[in-house]
Amino acid sequence: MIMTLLLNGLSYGLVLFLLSLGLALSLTIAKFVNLAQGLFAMQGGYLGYVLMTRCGLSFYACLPVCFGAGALTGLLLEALLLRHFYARSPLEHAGVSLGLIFMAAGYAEHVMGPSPLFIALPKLLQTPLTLFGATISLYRLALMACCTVLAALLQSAMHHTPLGAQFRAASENPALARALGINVPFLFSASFAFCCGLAGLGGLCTMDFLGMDPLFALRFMGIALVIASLGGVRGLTGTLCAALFVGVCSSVGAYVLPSSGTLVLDVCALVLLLSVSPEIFARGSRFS
Amino acid sequence: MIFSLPSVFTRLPRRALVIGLASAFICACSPAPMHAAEPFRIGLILPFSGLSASTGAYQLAGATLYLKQHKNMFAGRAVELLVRDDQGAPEITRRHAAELIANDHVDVLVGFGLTPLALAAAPIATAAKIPMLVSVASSRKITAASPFIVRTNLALAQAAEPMARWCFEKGYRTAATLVLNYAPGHEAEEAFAGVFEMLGGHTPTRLQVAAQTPDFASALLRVKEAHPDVLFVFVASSQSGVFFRQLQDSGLRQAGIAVTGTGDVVDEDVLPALGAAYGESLLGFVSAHPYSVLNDTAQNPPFVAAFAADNDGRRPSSLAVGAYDAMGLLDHALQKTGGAGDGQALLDALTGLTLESPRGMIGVDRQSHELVQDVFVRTVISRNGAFYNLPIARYAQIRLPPQ
Repeated sequence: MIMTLLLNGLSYGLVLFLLSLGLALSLTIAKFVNLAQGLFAMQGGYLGYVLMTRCGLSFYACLPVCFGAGALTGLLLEALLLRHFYARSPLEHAGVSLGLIFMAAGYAEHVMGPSPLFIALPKLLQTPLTLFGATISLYRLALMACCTVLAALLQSAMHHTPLGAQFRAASENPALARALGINVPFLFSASFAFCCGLAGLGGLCTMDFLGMDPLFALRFMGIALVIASLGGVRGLTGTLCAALFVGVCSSVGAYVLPSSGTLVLDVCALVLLLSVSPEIFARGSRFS
Repeated sequence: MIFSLPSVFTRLPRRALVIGLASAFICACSPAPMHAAEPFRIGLILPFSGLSASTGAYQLAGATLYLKQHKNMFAGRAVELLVRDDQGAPEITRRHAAELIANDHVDVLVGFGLTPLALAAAPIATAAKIPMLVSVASSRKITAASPFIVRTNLALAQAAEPMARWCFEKGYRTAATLVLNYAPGHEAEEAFAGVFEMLGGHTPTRLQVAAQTPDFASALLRVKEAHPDVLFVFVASSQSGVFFRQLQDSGLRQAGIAVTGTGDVVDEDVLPALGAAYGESLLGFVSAHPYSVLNDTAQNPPFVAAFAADNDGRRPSSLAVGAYDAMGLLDHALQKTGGAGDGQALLDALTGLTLESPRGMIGVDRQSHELVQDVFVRTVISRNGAFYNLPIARYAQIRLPPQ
């Protein structure tokens, strides 16, 4: 029983990690409070739905397509809109992001309808497995494995490649990095696009957990803020640990007190934030 | 502003003024002989945006179909349908109800997509003595809130009680319930558990999940540990996709636990998409509800065909039928009163009225103002690649006691 709860919570947390990476990134490099990550998740989810039901594409084929679409949209949005707001106050950043979320919600409702939509996973992925006495579908297991590998790859890329070094330099001190010849705007656009692609991928994967509806971005904004406040916005490890914490707490809370909604998670997060400190999951170093 | 009579009034001789006012008053009080020519105005207040938006869409489709089939005339009076979107917010419902009655002079209010919305408008209907037909919301608190309320869809207890009876007759003796944590959910749980235990069964596990963001996976885990013979669920049709995914993952079926519920989770508007996504694992899901596209009544096949023709081939959901029958009830009530649409007279004509509907014979109970109707236990089958709810048992004319 505990194992099932744990596995459910961890898989949920890993999907949240995929979705929230963009927030951490944009806050670190561009100091931009990008609350609209849910937007890219919605795009990924809805695109996946349309491709699978209307064009007959398989789930596996949709994965790279949703990543690419998310990355492209992120690139365009950053270049056309968000870039002009970097110099402004965080309140205006929040305003822009919220505006984007509402626009997306209205557009999605108009085009795709107000009801939540769901996709049919391939039969193979739906097979239930028993692992350490817990029942879990192959899909969740595969998801957990892939996300863990991804996190490990990102971590090693960050610390063991020249590009990663440039990136860390740019996040530490953008002005100095620029003076040293590092192309900071390009780095940021590229990594922002990457994170939006991840969010699109996460959106497709979320369709199985939570379903996709026009108000998804709004609901996700709350979760993203909890993750940001617990994990800090300095980078990968913090966001990962915070996302896992949120996932496991939600899962356990729903088991212990099903009728309470997110109360257990909210109380745990509040207790941690007040008793220990904000960003407790972020390590000492700036970008880890 | 200082109130003073305009000078013209002080110049007129007082006698002329008194006679003039008196005649105007008498003319205003005389019974208006123009009722037959005056249109019958229906105020339809529903959510057309937000998560409940499909409610509004299906109800409007059902109502407009009836009006189209009857050439927009009830008992010789032209019908005007005034539609308002309350966005699922009680304050907006209240405002629309007040405006429709005071400014647009509607004769009746119809709709109300959720229990709080109906409760918000109830005092206004009572004060204005305007009948209020609740065609969506399913909590019993609503009919208790105003003597002018009549229900045209169903109260959730009406589906839960026959389900409990059927489960017991099937041989199940222990049950678990899983409902959403709001009024209709609590009523469904109490109705099911009440009847099941009265017959001799046990419902030790009663779970309620948060209505807004339900996490069924953990609750289903608890059900699996309790290992009852049968699980009874109440889930809104908008969450059925998430529920079935997590039901499949939970392995309840493999553990030998039967799963049943109210018909909302497999309602006709989501069933085709659910079938496409979950295929065989959906087959054999048993639910209880008054309406299915396969209901074997005289009116149903032409109704389904006409609805599909007007709505891009979609199936009528139970909500579409609720609005269709609301129009039917109003039509027959007006025929009974001979076209007069006054509040109390219209209400008296509505209560006790019986009507043949696509779901079967329905009637408005005089004391409780609930709908008396047949409830069917149905199972999900596959026919020509599409999924349907096939009625397998009929519980006739379920009547709820007055509150």
